[in-house]
Amino acid sequence: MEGNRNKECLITIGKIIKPFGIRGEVQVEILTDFPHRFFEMESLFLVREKQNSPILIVNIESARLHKKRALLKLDVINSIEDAELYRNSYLKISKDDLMELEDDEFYIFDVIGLEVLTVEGTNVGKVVKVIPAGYHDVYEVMHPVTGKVNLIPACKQFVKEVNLESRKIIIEPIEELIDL
Amino acid sequence: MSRSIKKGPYIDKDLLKKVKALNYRNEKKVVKTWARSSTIVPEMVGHTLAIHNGHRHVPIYISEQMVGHKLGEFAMTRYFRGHAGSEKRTKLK
Repeated sequence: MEGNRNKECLITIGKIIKPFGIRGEVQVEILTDFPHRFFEMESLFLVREKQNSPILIVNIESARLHKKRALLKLDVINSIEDAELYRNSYLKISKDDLMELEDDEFYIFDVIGLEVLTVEGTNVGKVVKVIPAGYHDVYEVMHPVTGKVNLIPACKQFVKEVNLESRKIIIEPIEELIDL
Repeated sequence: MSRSIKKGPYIDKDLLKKVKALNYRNEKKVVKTWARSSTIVPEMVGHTLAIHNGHRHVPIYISEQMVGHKLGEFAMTRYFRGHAGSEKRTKLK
């Protein structure tokens, strides 16, 4: 079944890596922080690697975990040959199906592009990347004019407010944290 | 082989000196360091250390849970860029 959704409205939760067995199961690299959703969802969007290829709506017939990957049996894949055709395809969900997050948690795709301002109102730039750093994450912020890159630790000592509606992050930097 | 208990943990002397000086002056300032193998000690808690990852200094806010670990554990030397628009989250600690 083909869907007419915009690819930009979809969020990736997995990538088909390769076939598993001869009965049409596929190995899926888990690209979500909520892997249990593979067991709970009935249907997904399947986006093939090629551009302009239609988005398919597929049903999950069975799901299990195997060595940090998910093994899925999808209704459109019934043999190893079918599975080969869908290698490197992405499994996506609609933005409406995203899990609700706790306070102070944000989806990385929401944080990227936010404007970073200091409490005094100085523009530091826009978040271009979220770098995992063991305990807390670090926002990589690039100034749009000078191109200078600053790294801001994602902890409450520095980040005072993350406002997704106004697309702004307010920070209170200490000495030598930012270089404008 | 693990480090001998007799020697105690390895702590970079220069870094500890700088952190102690900041504590003495009750000042908060980012301290750059290349000492990835230095153990995190309670004196460092509450300070922000910019740990070198071979490419640049990554500012890390030192919290109580990090005490006893090495600085290098918190500044990754390799970074997987990942897949754009995936359902991954970030948390303010």
